[in-house]
Amino acid sequence: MRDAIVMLLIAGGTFFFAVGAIGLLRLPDVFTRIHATTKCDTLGAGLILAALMIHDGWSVPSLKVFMVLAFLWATNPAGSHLLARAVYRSGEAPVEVMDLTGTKGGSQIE
Amino acid sequence: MFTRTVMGWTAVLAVFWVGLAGAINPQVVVIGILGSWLVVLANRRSLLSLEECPGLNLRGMLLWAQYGLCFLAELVKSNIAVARLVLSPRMEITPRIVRLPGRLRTELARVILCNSITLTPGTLTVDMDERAFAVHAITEQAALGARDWIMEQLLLRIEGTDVSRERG
Repeated sequence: MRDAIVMLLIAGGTFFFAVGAIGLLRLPDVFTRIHATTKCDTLGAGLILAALMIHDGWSVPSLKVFMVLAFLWATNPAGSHLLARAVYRSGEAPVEVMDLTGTKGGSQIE
Repeated sequence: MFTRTVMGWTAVLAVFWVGLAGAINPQVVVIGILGSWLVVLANRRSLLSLEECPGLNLRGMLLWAQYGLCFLAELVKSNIAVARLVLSPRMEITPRIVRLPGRLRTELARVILCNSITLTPGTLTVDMDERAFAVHAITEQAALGARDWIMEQLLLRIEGTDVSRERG
């Protein structure tokens, strides 16, 4: 029973990694490609690491795997955000802008 | 050198160290505490203090737990949406950047919201300051979904802002 769940989770994780790789190849510009790769890290790595934790049960290695997942989820958005902000501010990739702020509000963001 | 913030972070790191070591004996604990204290001292200018954390009461803790569960649900939902988009033959994407008003008061809440937006596939925070966010969305639907997102509502409640008055 446990093995079945583990296999299912690993299959799911592999699927999302594959989708991320396909997206990286198919999508047209920097921003949309970053979208594809964040998906790998969240559900792809998430499901596979969850499978490892279930496989090992309540143990110290499981706790460490959980920490790997926590740090992955904490650092991945920081990296993606920095990459995207650098591209956005440099203006290298022109993109349509929709303003939903209503008022100007004194923000520095253009 | 021994303020509440420094000692608190030292305790957190020391517990983390013992967890990684996987064994509790005097040697591990002493080295852990000393090492953690040095690391915390080296980084003491960028430490987050308890006063900067919103929602440190029973009601706030429940809301944080709700935030975590809600986030997992959003994650699965948007992952499937983006996977479907990437695998569809015609791949109908309408990428754009939306500027959204930033209504959160505390820096910690803003950072957590930005990271949640980035971790959720289909949306990506490209810039932020105190008053606004710039979010890149892969479709128009994802862009509109980022406005009044349920996660932002939860963070506003954690901060204790009256959401109904805010919107009226």
